[in-house]
Amino acid sequence: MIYADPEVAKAVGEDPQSAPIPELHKAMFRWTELFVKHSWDASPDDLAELKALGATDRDVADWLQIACTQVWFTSSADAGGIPMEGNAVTGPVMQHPREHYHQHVAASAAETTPTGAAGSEPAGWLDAPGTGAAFDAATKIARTRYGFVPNLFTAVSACPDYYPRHQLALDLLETPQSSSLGAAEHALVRAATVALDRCPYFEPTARALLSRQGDRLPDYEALGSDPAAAARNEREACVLALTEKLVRTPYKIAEKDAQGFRDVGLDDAAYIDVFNTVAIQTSLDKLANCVGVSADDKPLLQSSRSAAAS
Amino acid sequence: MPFIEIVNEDAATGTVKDDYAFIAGSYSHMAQTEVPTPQVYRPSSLVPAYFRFGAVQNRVLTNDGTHDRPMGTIPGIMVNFAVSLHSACFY
Repeated sequence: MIYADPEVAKAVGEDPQSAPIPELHKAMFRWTELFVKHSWDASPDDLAELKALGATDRDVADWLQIACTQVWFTSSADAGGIPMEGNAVTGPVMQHPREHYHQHVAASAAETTPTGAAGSEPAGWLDAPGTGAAFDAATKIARTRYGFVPNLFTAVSACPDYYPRHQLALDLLETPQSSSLGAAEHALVRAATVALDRCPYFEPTARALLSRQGDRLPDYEALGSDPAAAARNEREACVLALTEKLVRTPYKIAEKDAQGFRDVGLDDAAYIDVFNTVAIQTSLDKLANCVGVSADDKPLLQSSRSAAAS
Repeated sequence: MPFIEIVNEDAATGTVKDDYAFIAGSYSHMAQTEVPTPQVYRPSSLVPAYFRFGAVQNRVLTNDGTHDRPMGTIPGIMVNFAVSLHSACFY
């Protein structure tokens, strides 16, 4: 139990900034809100604040990775419509049903221009040693896949434990993982997610994936503005509507969204393919935005496999 | 009820069955008692590649199920909770 006093735990669940907890904890909650809701506004000052309050570089590197992985879990829960666990890890904080917390959440993509410095540094804003056995192993695999070491891998090298997760994520994001979702639909989902997340790091990759599907696909800018409206047919509209909902307001996903897939001839495997593509891509987008890493010189795509998909 | 078809552990085969066993084992080790695979992994059970991804996430978060990753200035679980709070998603 993190907060032994149940009243403190309850206060944290309601509003961490008003709870009687250490300033570093409050700063972590503020930073996490940025990560979840508007990562494109991230700047080096956000990480500097955490370090000024006592967090180490290793701490911050770890929190970035944990937050990245947790985005997949929350997306999976919202998209799947799962029942609540009987024994929540959060303990006495869980005094309300999930819907209670929806009133505290604004849409994650407000209509504003990014004010941060996401995508500004080739190696990101953290001290990135770029050494060690785990880094060497991960970069060897990456060189085989892409022909270069992704800037993102260097940027998170202070905490190398997560490389297997990130490499698998990038592998899964290359192509659909179900037979019912088309390659073009999959590319649209991925590109729309990156565009909605305003992620400079993955934007070249998303654009390259779109261009390799053919020149009649909706363009990247349209996908970042009103994805469903950019769709060319009913199936694309359905897929892109779920994509936008999962990026902006995942807590609003309901059973009718899954039924909508069936209504247009898509099956549950396609629904899972779409929500996982969004969940994985958005987790990496937020990570890249909040570590400040700039895009690679080439798209982060395996050239032979991506060419075969076009 | 879940919005989509779920393949539970009693019906799972192949890699999904293996991953169910690993995830349940990981949480059982953490809880010091036998517990089933949590609900949050199950929505992806129909597509083995994504179910495997969930298992890999658990591996990296727990040091391969041992739950002995070094603790930093703040317990990592607080970051998990903070993301859930700001996502309005507790599972």
